[in-house]
Amino acid sequence: MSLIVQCNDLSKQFGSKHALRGLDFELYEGAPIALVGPNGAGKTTLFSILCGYLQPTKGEVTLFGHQPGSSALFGKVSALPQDAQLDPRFAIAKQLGFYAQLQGFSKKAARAEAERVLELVELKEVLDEKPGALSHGMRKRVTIAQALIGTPKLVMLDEPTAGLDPRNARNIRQMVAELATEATFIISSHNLNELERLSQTVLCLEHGKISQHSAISSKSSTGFLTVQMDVADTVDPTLIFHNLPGVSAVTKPQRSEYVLQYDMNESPDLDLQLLRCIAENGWSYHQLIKGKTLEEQLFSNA
Amino acid sequence: MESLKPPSTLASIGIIARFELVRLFQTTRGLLSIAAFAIVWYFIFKELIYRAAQWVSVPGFRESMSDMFGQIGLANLLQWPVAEFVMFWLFALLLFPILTVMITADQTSSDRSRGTLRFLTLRATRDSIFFGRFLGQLIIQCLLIGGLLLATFAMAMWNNSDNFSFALTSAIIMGTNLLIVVLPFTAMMAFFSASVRSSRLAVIVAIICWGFSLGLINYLAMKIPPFGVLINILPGTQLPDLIQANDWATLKHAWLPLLQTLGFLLLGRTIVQRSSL
Repeated sequence: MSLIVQCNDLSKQFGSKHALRGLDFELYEGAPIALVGPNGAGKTTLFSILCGYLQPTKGEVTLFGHQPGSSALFGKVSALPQDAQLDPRFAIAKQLGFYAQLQGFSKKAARAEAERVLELVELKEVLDEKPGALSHGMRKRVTIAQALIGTPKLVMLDEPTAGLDPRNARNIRQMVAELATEATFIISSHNLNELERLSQTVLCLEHGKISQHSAISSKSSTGFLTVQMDVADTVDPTLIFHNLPGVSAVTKPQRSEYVLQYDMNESPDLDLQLLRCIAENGWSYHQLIKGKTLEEQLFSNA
Repeated sequence: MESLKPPSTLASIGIIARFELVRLFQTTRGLLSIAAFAIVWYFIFKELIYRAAQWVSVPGFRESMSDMFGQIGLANLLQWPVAEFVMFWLFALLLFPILTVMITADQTSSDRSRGTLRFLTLRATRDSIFFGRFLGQLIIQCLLIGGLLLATFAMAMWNNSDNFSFALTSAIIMGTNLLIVVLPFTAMMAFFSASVRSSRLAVIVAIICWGFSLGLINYLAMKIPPFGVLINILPGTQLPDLIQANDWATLKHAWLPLLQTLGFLLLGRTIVQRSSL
């Protein structure tokens, strides 16, 4: 796997406020990478530095071995910057065609490329519309389309599904999943369920520092099962789950959700035993997840 | 799909400059601007240039007016051979600097506040964007100046076709000079447009800075005369000399606006390179 992003001691200060504090990490090409963290954690600042919109106060950052904003990255790196909008005076085709020409397409091919990327976000019909004629969600999808022009190797999407209806958000996720074989995506989002479905690697920022940088699925011998189920208030399944073989801890992070920590070597088929246990007790479950939810991985202390 | 080779910096400048023409000729706002420009100049031509040219053409009028023009420092104005071009030259020198400040104010400002520059900088260097926009505005000015010169030429031919060669020479000399006149104003607006986030603010800041600098330099020059040389940093400083000159001799004043253009472009480029988007 080749290195696509390298940050060494990367810091950014706005006046006296430290937005990023000495970040050191490397990202490799492959499955989508999630960038998560609470508001003000520094996600957009990091995106902006990676795109060359902001200069770091200290440290070094390279993409494919080049400084952000370098002409060597044109056509190779693309992005959906947060809050950036298209020019309201031009038709969508005109603007996307202009961007395509700047990436090396001929005038004629640029129009065809604009059509292709709009089709990817299911908006081919708005080709000759102006941005003002589109809804917020449609405009967002058009700006995602601009990030797909050409054959980028790295696509950075800052909150790509924020403001989209569930159907379109799902379409964008599907599109990312399909294109993930051709380009590496870095996706920033508050929607952990979404990232969980898309990403294999997570970069968690908190107060300008990386609090976690890991693969979502752990390969240690300690396993987790997450089960979501409804039981009567008088019943506490925690004790019953605790008695299952190999289970070392049971937590209830939120109502109707139980997380079982167990030894995978001792009890490799705990999922089957758990389902049997649920059936024997006459409970019904909604969802069984092998492992923890991304939210649990990031924000629980267990 | 094969990966494409992005265009060179120069080619990108060309693409961006051409897109400025699209902005002018294929958008509602651009077409309205052209319409407004055309209407203003229509009345200048109809009510001022046409009538004034007829007076200037009256035998003896030039001689009597020369004395009056001489008193207000415009003695050489009437030396231009074609009456229509005399009046056009006067109005163009007065109006084009102001029009340029207004027309070229939005080179990068609104794109920066909207975030559109973020899409562009992923595909073109900041230099390409800055110089491409400047070049685009210059091409637009060329077209506007060319259109007006053509109208003046047509009017001159309509009134007296014997003046063909004089009118043609005047058109070429005036066109070249006007382009040089608008250069530093366009570069100044490239600088201010790179420094603020709206075209309106760019115009206001440019006018305030220009006026304030003029006042300050005059005050300093009054106290310490060598400071008077600083007046040369202000675009348009050469206009009083230019209006006094004739024929190709007008170009001897070109060095100052060209230097000013270079200075403003360097300042603007520095701002664009260092600014956050």
